[in-house]
Order: sequence, then structure tokens, then C-alpha cells
Amino acid sequence: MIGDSKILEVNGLTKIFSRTTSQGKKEAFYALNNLSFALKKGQALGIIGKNGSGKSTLLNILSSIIRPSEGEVFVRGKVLSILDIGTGMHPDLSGRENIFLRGELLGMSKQDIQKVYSDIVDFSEIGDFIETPVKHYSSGMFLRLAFAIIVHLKADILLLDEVLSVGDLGFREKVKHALNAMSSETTLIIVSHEIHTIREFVDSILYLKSDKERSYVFSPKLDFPFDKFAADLSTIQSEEVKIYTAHDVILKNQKVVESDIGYLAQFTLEITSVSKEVYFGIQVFNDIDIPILTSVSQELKALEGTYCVEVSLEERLFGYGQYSIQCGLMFQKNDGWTVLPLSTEKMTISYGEKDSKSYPKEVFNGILQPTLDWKLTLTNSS
Amino acid sequence: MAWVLAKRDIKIKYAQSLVGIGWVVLQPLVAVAVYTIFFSRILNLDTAYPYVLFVVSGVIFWSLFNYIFSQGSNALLQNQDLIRKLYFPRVLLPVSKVLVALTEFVIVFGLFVGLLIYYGLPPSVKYLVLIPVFLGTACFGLGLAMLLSAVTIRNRDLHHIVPFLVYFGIWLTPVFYPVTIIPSAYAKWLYVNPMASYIQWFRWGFFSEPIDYFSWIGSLLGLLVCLAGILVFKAQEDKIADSV
Repeated sequence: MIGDSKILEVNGLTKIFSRTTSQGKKEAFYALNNLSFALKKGQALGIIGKNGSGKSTLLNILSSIIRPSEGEVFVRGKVLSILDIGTGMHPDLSGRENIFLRGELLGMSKQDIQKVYSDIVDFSEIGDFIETPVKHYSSGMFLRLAFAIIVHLKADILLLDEVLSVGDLGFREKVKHALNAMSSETTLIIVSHEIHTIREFVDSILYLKSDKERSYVFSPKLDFPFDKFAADLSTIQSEEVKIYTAHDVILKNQKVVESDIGYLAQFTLEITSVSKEVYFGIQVFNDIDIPILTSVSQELKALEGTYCVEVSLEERLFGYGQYSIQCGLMFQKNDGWTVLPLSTEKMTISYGEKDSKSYPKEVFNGILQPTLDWKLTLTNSS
Repeated sequence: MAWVLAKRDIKIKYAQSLVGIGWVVLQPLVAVAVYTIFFSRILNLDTAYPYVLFVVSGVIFWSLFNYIFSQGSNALLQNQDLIRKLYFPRVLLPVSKVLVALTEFVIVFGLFVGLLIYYGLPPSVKYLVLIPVFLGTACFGLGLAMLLSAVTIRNRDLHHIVPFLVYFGIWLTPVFYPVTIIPSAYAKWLYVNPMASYIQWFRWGFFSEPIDYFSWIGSLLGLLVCLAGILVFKAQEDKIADSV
């Protein structure tokens, strides 16, 4: 039976799906294999892993939507799972009706919803539109409303699947504050592709590997070897490696890794035909796609072969926000310069979240926020 | 929870419509008007009491069955997103359709009571037959719906036969024609159809129509279908989320 201080215990969980192979035969496929862990009250768990590593299967089992093939889950208290932001909400109903509908579908009583109703409306910033059918809402308004409901729910265990990465930055901040406030009474279990989000909220990490044995690592956040899995975790950021080939240059791999000083962008490329001068360039765009930083490397001695290009972006370089990175090549060939963007897919990084200073970041929001050389001298002491 | 789902259905159904809940009344009213003009005036079908009362009693229960059966058998497919993202006993999805049907039934039945008063029929203790007839109809509809939806979630073929069943079913049920037009040798077989039995029991209670003992078979059959529906649905319930 479940121990006293434990609120959730998972023992030997296994889920087998049958899948049809390319030869048309049916075979067993292990989505989870003999997974065990336990959480105490007030802990917060982050579940990470690549696509197909079983994160969603695990959440589905924890929320009793599907049954495990083997193993058991013990839970003490009420489990609420938010696997999708607006499940059950209906476009034809008004914001008010949807608040009650969604709340009741998630198991709250009408009285409970009544109590937090005005908080939800305030939080969502919907204002007068609350009586308008939600199909007339902008997508931002809809998300804000859906989130406002989620953060006002009462539960002992709250499961969140990839739902933290939506909305504009200001609202995301608000959601994070609300979740932090909740976490004293509620055990949070978060699945996210964003390592930043995970690191900010949780105190334990469950890392599901997508290897054949379906092995996993379960550890307190402080002990979790983020560096060891850096290569793995970074591909979580750039989900697929885009292989781009044109003009005798092949981009084989690109990724952004968190490093001690900030971010390290790494690119592997193969040059198959010699050219005179080759330069490597990188551009950083802000959230409305305006290039705000451009940097060009020194000349690459363009012999045929495979190159590894690394460039680091310091931690205190930009203001708070999301940025995307794109890289490119410039080289001279027969009739002049060719500029070749190497990736169609941009990679995203976030800045400022690790900043521990507590000044109002909305006010000091310059595009560039480097660490300048400050001198603070006391000239007259009273 | 079943009530929450039912409320959702009702609200969605009448959101942004001017006539709103009036549609509940309008639909059977049109059916009754068509049947009355066609069968009573043109074909001169004879009933011992006003044909309007006869056809309204049939239409009320046929619509009740029709709604529970067609909507209930579609409930799982219609709510796949809920099934994938939210846990609750799946049986509540078809059951909630019974609640929706009940609210509409109450409104339409109110009209029927108005007709009774208009034609000056005296109240009788036999009117209590309404309760078992309602429950029988609801159970039979729900049972069929559960049988079908448990199967359709894996194999969508059966989903398409629902409209056929409803379409042909009304001809095998004395909704708009009286049992007396069928040769008496065949008439009792009509009662094997649970819906025919329930509707005739209702007319027995309200208009003292004679009833054949065969109607017990039909009534029981309806309940057996309900039981089978529950058992089959229960056996499938755990696997539903895997197959949507």
C-alpha cells in the first residue's frame, strides 16, 4: 500500500501497444517498461524525453484514461489532468458558460466555480467579452481563458502536458506565478519540451529514454546530470535535424546546447567542393522576426571535409524573451558571392529566465542587455 | 457528471437560435400535422378516439426512442476528444443523452396533457402506465445504443446502419397506423418489437385500447436488450481510449 508521506506511487508500470510492422505483421511495442517512482506531497516532477519516449502514455495512465498492461499506480487524493488546454470547451458557448462547463467537466462543483469565478475572469483579462461566444475570441483570448480556469482548480495532483508554452510572454509569466503559488498545496507533474520551464518549476526529473529497453532516470533536479544528457536534451529543442543540401555544402546537424556561460550553438557541415573563401554566419531574431544580431566567422579554410562550427552566446546578452537562431554560409564562387541560409527551421532560445535579480523586467526591457562595466562608488557616507 | 454532459448538449443545441427550446415542440408538431392530414383525412384511418391523440402518443415515444438510440450510439464517436483527454466513466456519454431526451420529453408531454384536457378525457389511475412505458423505452433505446457504440468504436461500419434501423423501425411500429389495420393473425407478432409493445401499453393506459398478451414478450425483450447493452459496454469500457 502507499506509504504515509507519499501521494503518488508507480510500481512496475508497463504499457504494451500492438503495432503493425511494415511487413504487415502485428508485434508488441513497449511504450513503457517496468517504470517505478514515487512522489511525496508538495513535490514537483518534470517529465522529459524525446517524442515517442512514452511521456504521454505515462500521463494518460496517471489520469486513468488508459489502463497499464502491467504494474500499478497508487494515488492519494484528487488527480486533475490537463492534457489539452481547452478540452470540452465549446465555440458556440459564451466565456461564462465555458468556465462552468470546463470546471464541471474537470470535477469541480458549481459552488466551487462560483467562488473563483471572478478571479478567473480577472486573470483571463477577457473583461466584457465574457458573455460573447468564444468562437469570436482571438486565439490569445481563448488560451487566456482556458489557462485562467486551469490555474484556479483545486487538486492534490495536477498533471500538465505541454501546455505551458503558449500565450504571450507577459501572460506566461502570470501563469508561472500562479502555478508557483499552487505548488505549495498541489503536487505538480509537468511534461514539457522546454528545459527552461521544467527547471524552473520542478524539484525532480523523470527522464524517459527512447531506447529499446525503455530505461529511465529518476532523480532530484539537483542531482540530475543535465550535462551528461545535454546532447539528448538539446535535440529536444531542435526536434529534428534538418539536413539541407545545396551548392556543395551539406548541413548535417544543428543544435543549441545550454552551457555555463549561456548558449552554445553547434553546427556540423560537410563541404564537398572547394571554394575560395567561406564564411559562416549566424543571425538572431527577436519574437517578431526582426534580426537583432548578426555575426560572421573568420574565414574557413575551405578544404573538402566535415567541419564543426561552434559559437557561444553569452547569458547576459539580450533582454528577457524568446529568440530564434538561424545560420548561413557565404562563399565566393565563379561569378561572385553566394549567400546560403543553411536551415529553414529556426531554433528557439529564451533569455533572462535564469536571471536571479528581481527588478521589474517589464520596465528595463532594452533589446540588448549586456553586462557592461559598472562602477558603483560611495563618495559620501553619512 | 452525466448531467453536466447533458447540459452541454442542450446549451450547444440551442445556442444562437432564435426559437431556442421551441424547436423541441416544433419538430413533433410538424410530424403530427403531416400524419394527421395524410392518414386521417386522406386515407381515413379509423381510431376509436381522436386520431390526433393516437398519433401524438405514438410520435412522443418514437421520438424519445429515436433520440436516445441515434444520439446514444453516436455519443462515443462524437466525444472522442473528451475520451482522449479526460477520465470519467464512459457509460455516462450515452446515459447523458437519456437526460437530454428526458428534458425534451417533459416539454412535449406537457403539450400532450394539454390535448387530453382539450378533448376532455377524464383522469384515470391507469395513467400511471406512463412511468414503466417511459422507463422501458429509455432502457431499450439506451441498451441498443450501448450495444452499437461498443462495437462502432472499433468498427465504424455499424455506425451507418443506425439511420436505416430508425427509418425501417417506424414502419414496424404502430406510430401512425393502428394495429387494427393489420390482419389479426400477424398483428400479435408486431408486439415482439419492444417499441410497439410500449406504445400500445401507453394507449391501453390512456385510451383503453385492447392489448395482446404478446406485448409482454416485447416489453421483456426490451429490458433484455438493455441488460445485454450494459454487459457488452462494460466489457469494452477499458479499451475504449485505446481505440478512439
